[in-house]
Parts: sequence; structure tokens; C-alpha cells
Amino acid sequence: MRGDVVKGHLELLLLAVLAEGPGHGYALIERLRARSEGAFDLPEGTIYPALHRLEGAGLLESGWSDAAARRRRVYRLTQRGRAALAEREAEWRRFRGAVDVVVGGA
Amino acid sequence: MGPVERYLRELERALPRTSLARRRVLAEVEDHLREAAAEHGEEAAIAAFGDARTLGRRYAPQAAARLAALAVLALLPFPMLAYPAYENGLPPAPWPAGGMPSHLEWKRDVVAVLLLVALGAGVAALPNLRRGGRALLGPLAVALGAYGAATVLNAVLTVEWADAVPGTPSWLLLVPAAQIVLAAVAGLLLGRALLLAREERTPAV
Repeated sequence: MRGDVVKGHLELLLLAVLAEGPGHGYALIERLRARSEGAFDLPEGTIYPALHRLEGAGLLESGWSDAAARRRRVYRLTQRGRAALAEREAEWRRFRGAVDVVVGGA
Repeated sequence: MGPVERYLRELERALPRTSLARRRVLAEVEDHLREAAAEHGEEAAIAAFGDARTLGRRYAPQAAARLAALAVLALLPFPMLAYPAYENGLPPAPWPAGGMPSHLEWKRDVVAVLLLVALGAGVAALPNLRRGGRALLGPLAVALGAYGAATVLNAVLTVEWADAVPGTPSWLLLVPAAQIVLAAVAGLLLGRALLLAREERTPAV
């Protein structure tokens, strides 16, 4: 799938994969790739500015974890993040429905 | 120096110098690349990660917003710091207490109100320093707009005061002049931050 198509929905995708549970950047990319069955294959570095923006907006929180061999930054949804995810999911469904109608449900 | 180290050096050069999160970004990217390299090799990990300069540029809007915030917030105490210059520099007014000419009085009152608006908007911006974006830039624009209007009106007031009060030193005009220059610099930084924020919104990454 074209990268520019994915770009427009990256924040929603990240919120959705974080709803499964906390994770660090590499794990989130792997989760996204797995859940999309390889359809979403964007430059992996692009998630970090998006994660930091979401954290700045209060939708995520993060902290350093020493559980693995290397110190890594683990992200999790906040309460506001869960509410934002629900809102954006509803918005997406409305959008998808409208597009389906216009393109004839293909 | 291996491929991952070279990539991190390139990313470090590409990140805005004013970005507060430089060390954190580099640490997270290094962790990501090392983990990916363990599975796929360093070159493949870097290829999958994307161009370092492009990634570094994506942090420019946040850094620009914080720099603009610092510039605008640093301006706000200036009138309080300049007040002693007025208090000590102005000769006694030729009118009795409470008898200030109306054309000076209303300007003084409007300047005070505008400065209060600027201060209030600046305080409103503070909780959003981390968040950035419109939540930060909106209040900053209000603060700078009010401050700029107060500064221009204060410059007019200072000139008219000098006309009305004999012996007013001409150097006093340097105070509003300095404020106008500093406000213009802050305005340029804020304008750049607003442009970058708009470009950032167009793709949502």
C-alpha cells in the first residue's frame, strides 16, 4: 500500500495497536505489520515523531524500561488516549462508509 | 564506525539543535536499529528505518514551536523591567495628580489592558509547552498580538508624553523601540513555527 495513504492514518493505527498493550517502537512496528498482514509497510522511523506527538498531546505516556537487555522506551495508552482512539475509530468508520458509497462499495 | 553508528551521527546532525528530545530520540532510534539489526542485519535495518535527514526534519515543527514559545514568553516581563526606566527617567508632569490629559490617559489604560491580555495568554500557553501544535501556538499568537499592539501604542504614548512634559529625555524612546524590535523577532520565530505546524498537519506523520 502506498506510504502516503498510510501516513494520513498513522496516529490512529498507533493508538489501535497500543490498545493491545504497552510496547516499544520496534514492537509496535512489528505489531502493525502483523495485524495488517504486511499491508502497512512504511519506513519504520516514521512512527517515532508520531509517538512523540501523541505523547505531547497526552494520549500516550512512556517510560524507560530495563526489562530487556537494552534500556528501551515503552509506550502505553492513557485514559485520554483510549477516548481519542474510540473517537477516531468512529470517524474512520464514517469516512470508510462514505467512500464505499461513492466508489460503489468496491 | 559501523552502519548503525554512522546512521545515528547523521540523525544527530539532522535533528533540530533546539529539540529538547534529541538524546531521547537518538536513544530510541539506536535501540530500534540494534533490535532490527539482530534479526535482519544492520544494512537491512537501516534501509527499513528510512532516511535520517527526513526523520530529523520531522522534529522541526516541535522545536520551532518551543523556540517561538521561549521568545514570546521572554518578552512578557519586559514592561515590568522597563518600568523603573520610566519611573526614574520621567520629569514631574505639569498636571496635578489625577489630571492627566485624556489623550495620554486612554492610551496608558489600553496599554495596561493589552499587556494583561498578553500575560494571560502567555500563562495559558505554559501547560502546552510539551504538547506543541495549535494548543501552544494559538495562545502564543494572542500573547504576541496583544504585546505587539501594546508596544506600538506605548511608542506613540511615549512620543506624545515627551511633547506634553518638558524635559522628557529622548533616550526614553529607546525603550519602546527595543520592545518593537524584540517583538518583531519573536513574530518571525512564531510565524516560522506556524508555517511548520501547517505543513506538519498536511501529512499526519
